[in-house]
Amino acid sequence: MTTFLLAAAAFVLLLTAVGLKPLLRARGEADRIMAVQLLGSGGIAALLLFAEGAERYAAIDVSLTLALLAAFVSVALAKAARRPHAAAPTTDPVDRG
Amino acid sequence: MRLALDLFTIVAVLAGAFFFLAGTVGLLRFPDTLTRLHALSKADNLGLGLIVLGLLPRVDSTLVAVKLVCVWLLVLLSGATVAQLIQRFNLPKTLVHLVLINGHFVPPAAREARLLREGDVLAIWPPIAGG
Repeated sequence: MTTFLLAAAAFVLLLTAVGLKPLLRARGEADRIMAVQLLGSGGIAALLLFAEGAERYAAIDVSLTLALLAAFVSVALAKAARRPHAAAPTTDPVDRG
Repeated sequence: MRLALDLFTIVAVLAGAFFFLAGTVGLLRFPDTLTRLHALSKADNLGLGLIVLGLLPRVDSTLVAVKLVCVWLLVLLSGATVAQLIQRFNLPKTLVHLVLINGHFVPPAAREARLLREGDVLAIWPPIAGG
């Protein structure tokens, strides 16, 4: 079971890293917020699996901190993006046919 | 009993990992911000939720179980209001013509305040042009 949980943690961590790569080269605010969210949720999932697998329960507290930070950061970025002078349009052009 | 709980953990964690995989593939392959966000929220809400669910039977103390659930709730919270989603896309409000939650119309005045609950289905429609 330990091996399974640790393998799952490594798998999720790998997926997070792969998903972050294009998002960090992001074009706009929305993609940057998504990068933060992905790092938050993927990192948290990997930490929780590690905590159970390796029986290091302190890692659960670390993931709780990460969850708090991800929540605050996404709210802060969303607020910053709302300011009119903040940034260029971030969504892809809308085809209005 | 022990075996059944272990099996439950394995199934739930595998399902959670699958949603992370699906979310990551979506992030890499989907063409625009809206669809990528859709993929990401699947990984967030379902993937993490299933992993937390799978880990819960292995936890001995109530405090740790509460912490696990808190972590998941916080992650849900960080992406959870209609207004925040709309701002996140940076869609101009005039482009947001119709907002439906679970198939019910949400009037413009109520959109900022309406919190999404788990399992809610959100649809945002642009005005349709052309002919």
